[in-house]
Amino acid sequence: MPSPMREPSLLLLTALTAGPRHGYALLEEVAALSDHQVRLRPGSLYQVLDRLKEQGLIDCSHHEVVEGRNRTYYVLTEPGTRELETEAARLEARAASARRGLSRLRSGVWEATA
Amino acid sequence: MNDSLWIRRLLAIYPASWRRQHEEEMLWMLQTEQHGQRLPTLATVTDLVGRGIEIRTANLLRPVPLLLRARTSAAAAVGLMLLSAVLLTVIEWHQPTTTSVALVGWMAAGLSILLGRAGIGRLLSVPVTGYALITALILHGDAAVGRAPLFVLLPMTLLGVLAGAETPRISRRDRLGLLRVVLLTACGMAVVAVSLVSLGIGEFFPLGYRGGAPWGFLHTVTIAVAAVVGGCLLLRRTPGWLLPLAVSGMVPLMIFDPAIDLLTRASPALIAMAIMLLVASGYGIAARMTPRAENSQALTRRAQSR
Repeated sequence: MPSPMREPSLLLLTALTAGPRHGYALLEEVAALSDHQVRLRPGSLYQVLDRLKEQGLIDCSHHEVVEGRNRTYYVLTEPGTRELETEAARLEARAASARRGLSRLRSGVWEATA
Repeated sequence: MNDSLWIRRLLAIYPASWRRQHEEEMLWMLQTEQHGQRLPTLATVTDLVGRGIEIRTANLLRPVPLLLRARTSAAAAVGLMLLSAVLLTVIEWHQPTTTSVALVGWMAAGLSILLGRAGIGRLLSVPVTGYALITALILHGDAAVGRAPLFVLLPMTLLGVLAGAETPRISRRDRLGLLRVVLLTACGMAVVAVSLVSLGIGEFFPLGYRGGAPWGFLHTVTIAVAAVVGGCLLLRRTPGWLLPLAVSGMVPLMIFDPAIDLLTRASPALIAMAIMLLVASGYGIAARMTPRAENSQALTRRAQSR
């Protein structure tokens, strides 16, 4: 069974569903997507981006030169999209289990079966 | 030095190939993120340096299989913890040196790993090993507040490097088994030692790296008895590798102690104990962690999903 995706990877892939993004934009979007609970630092960001690229989940779409400095834009690949769908389905299944458990708890079913 | 140059020097910690790809963008990002501050925050610098070391280490160790690295790291960390505990108990407690700090740190790192916090254990062992290396390089072993001799400190530093090179992996069953061995053997040793001292049999402490009371036959017997007692207590629920632990605790001390003493006069029992502990912990981990292909694949998948 594949192991669950880590949160920074999940958030980065989610941020890229909006289209190609450069590193700094991804930092900002990850923070926004996680309600500022996950704040990636530049060193960690590029480490995760390199790993996702190695795994073929993202790719470089194009480069842009701004104020004499090169910016790389990243884009979600087809395998990356599939991986994100799988992870989203896994999380939904977990959330559904939790909700079922909570509704059983609230309806007092556990008392009857205990 | 201007800010840009300062950050460029900081980024020199990354390999050249990485810098060619990311340096310009990282420089721009760091300057944008500073929001008018002259220099990056401490957290950003720590992150940069940590990731840089990690990438360089990963490049260096790439030819070695991940599972082997993870196991070596676990064996080194646990061995280091046991060795640190012995040194702290028999020597540093009475004659503290700057090495005491490193020993406490290595014990905390090993314990974190045994308690299932491998990441924290690795994070701890890296700075502690750095500290040990610095003290080994700049302090004199015979000074009033010196350090442990190099024949103790350098092998331990090497183990620290191995422990920090990869996130250690030990299964839950192995962790609990090792934790039980460590705790019960320590209790057994403490009971035997206190009994001997209270009965007035021999002078147990202090021991020194190069002086103090010699490590004699009585100490050998004490450790051997404690190892056997601990082993017998545990055999009921633990696997076969516990017996080699007890035996390896006895044999080197009983046989080699006098011979090494004549040859080196440098705390031979300590060397023998170091060998015993490292061999025992390494054997214990290697014997219990069955090297199945699916384990290796699962580990690779976990590492890739980080």
